[in-house]
Amino acid sequence: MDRKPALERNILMSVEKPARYIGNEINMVKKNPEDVDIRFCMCFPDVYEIGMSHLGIQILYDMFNRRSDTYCERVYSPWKDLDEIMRKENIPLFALESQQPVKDFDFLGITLQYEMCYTNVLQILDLSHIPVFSKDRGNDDPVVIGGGPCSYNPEPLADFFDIFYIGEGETVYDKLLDLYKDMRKKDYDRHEFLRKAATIEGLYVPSLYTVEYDDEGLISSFKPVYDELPHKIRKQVATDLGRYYSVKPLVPYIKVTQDRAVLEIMRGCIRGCRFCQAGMIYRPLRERNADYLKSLAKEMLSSTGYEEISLSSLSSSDCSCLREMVYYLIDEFMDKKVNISLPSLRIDAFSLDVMSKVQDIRKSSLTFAPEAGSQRMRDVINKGLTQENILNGAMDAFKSGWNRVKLYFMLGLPTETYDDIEAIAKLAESIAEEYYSIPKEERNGKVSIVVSTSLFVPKPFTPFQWVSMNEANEFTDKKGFLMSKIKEQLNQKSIKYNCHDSEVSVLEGVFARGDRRCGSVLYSAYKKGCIFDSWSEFFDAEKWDEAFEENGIDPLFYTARERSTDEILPWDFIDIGVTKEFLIREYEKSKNAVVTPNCREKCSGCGASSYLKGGCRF
Amino acid sequence: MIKARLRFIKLGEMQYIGHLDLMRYFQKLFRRSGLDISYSKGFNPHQIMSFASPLGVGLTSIGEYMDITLESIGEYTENEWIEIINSHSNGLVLITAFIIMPENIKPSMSLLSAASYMIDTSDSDAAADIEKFFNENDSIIYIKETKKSSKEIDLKKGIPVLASDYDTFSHMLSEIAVNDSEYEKQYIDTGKKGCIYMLCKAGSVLNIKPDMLFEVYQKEIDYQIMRLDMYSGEGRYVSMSVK
Repeated sequence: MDRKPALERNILMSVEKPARYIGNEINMVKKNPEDVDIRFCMCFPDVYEIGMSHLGIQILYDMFNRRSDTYCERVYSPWKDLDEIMRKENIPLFALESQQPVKDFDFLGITLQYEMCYTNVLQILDLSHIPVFSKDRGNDDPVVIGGGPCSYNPEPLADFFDIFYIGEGETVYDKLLDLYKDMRKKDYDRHEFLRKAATIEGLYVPSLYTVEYDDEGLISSFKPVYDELPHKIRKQVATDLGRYYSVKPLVPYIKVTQDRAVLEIMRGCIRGCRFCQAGMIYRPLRERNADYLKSLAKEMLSSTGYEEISLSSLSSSDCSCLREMVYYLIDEFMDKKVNISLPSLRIDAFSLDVMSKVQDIRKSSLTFAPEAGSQRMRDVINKGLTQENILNGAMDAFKSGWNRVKLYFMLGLPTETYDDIEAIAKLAESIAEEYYSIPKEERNGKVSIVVSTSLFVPKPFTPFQWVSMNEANEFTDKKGFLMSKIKEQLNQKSIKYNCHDSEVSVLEGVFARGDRRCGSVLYSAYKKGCIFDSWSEFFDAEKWDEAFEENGIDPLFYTARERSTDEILPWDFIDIGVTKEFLIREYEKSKNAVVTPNCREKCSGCGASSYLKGGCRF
Repeated sequence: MIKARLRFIKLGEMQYIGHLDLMRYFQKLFRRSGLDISYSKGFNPHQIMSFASPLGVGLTSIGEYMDITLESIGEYTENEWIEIINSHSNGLVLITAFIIMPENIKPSMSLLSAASYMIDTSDSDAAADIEKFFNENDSIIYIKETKKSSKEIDLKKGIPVLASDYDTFSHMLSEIAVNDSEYEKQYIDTGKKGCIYMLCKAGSVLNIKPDMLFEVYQKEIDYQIMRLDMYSGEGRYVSMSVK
């Protein structure tokens, strides 16, 4: 195959980081597109450096390419500079592997990791010269599939996608590809294909479902247009995590966000924090076997040459093989100059011991995620962490030589009062005071505490899916208040405060819990030039305001309105295993600040064990 | 400790990979290959590696040099290492010489005195015109702007050899240098029309780049530059591929 860059040299030389567009990275799969039946283009709708850091695509890329009849390639969002050139010169968006146009593919699979990438989805379709609306696509256009966490409420994107894959990709993609290949042999009809695909468990074809609304704008009915289609779409769960993993991940030329080998040690989380969508949708907990993980680590490091390996999971401290794995990596790879990075660890004696071995204490900081300042607030969100835990952890860390601490909180949590917010400042102060209680000669200079707040956005399939979200001005007031309270603390000079942008969070709130009607806003905003909304330098709140206005849609209907638990929610047609009854129970408990034990302590009957033969094993 | 000098090529779309990214590429490449390369001490050890002269983005090359330090050569010969390393590379960055150097050898960077280039304009008339422009002028003044001042450089003094034909160039070069045209001929189409070949002085005192000539020449032409080789020595230049 003659492989030449799709872009002319003068274009590549005129854009920032041309390496984003040339492909040919180490471990890139090479096939002749003419030798395969199915061409699948996998897309992460953000810039290359972000998209290349995503583990899911690496796993699926490997999985698809194991099929000899399929060639899976990749595409990422062209940065603004190239975007402008492609529009001006009418250059169709191309896949990195073959450098051939995406519009000639059979499938375009787009992963939806955060709501603020939605305009980039439209950019990808538009630049590819694929009709943006599903209804306008013909037999020769690719089938556009969405997946990833945002597909747990796909409704705002319903008009733009042909299929949503609900759940983990490892299960039914083979069925879908086999069906497609089979139907392509005869007189292929796109509609017939989608209708058949919609009968595969886990696949949702939005055009085959109709929604009706009542006078107040609430959903009154949601149903399939054909009798054979399911009323509920069952989330897909990979019950055997020993089947697919990429031991030859792609190694980019340029520095990307996650520039290391990543080892996913488990999926799911036992904690049940009530704000956390990942904690619910990835249930039930599944762990990978330690021996399998060790062989993966070895193979990945030798196939990539990476100098760093990271363990990945929602809460690594809860993984039963964590100790074994960490000590294995230290023993096996430290003297081979491999750095070991351990995100999402709870601070305790073990983690401090390990961290002091794998990183330079003087240069690293410790991270705590109390998420809320007061104990009451932490109980509301079911964050099983006490003030004592935090202070003891910090003290242990200080005694081991650390003097930099990062603290993560959320503002705008349900039932939050200004006292709860002030407690954030007080907690930071208490940590500083812990530090200064150590005799001066044993201290390592000044303490540095960084407080970061994100703004709480209620997400589908969490116990907080019904709650009212704060409005932009409330967030702004709360941030200002917290800043003033931090300034009042004795050690305020040691405390730095960072916070998120209010308007972006409100927009995220609309699309997180939006319905089909939000699609028009998205389209208008895109037409006005909104892309890369998650990049503060590109986010344009005014254009979004206009887009809402023009489409007669009130964002507060989706964000600020407290929903009744008997309302039909836009995502109710999805069955994630975790039952609505459980979510309601958790919601009620949160109102009384009652905590729920984690899965290892006691099963709370969330429903997710239905995926596992014999239930969860703890 | 073993010191080695590697010559490598950087072709095709690898021209878009900048110098720092190329260094990162080599670090991973050597790890995949299992080369027993030396690391610096400290908490963030890095491979001991330095380059004769970083290649700019947009240039290709068949004559790049890097110095590495090895703990041991292992069970393979230099030529076997070349094969092993190249089998782990991407086909566009390839090692073409692996030379064990005396331990007291100076870094290639400080030995560098000249570099040769092929500039492809894809236009015979343009190439002939540039050659004429170069030959007919007694001095060609390039004004180098720095933040504080500007400096005049006479490109006639900085470019000892220039020709629009490879064989002529190679012949002229061989009178003042030890060059390796057999190696170069493996990679370049010596009959290609519209090319300019030149030897430019290089190093910390006077560093001439082919673009400078094109800037003074002032006619709008598109061209692609390939570096052919690098040289050490004053008076008589010696290809760095010569041990």
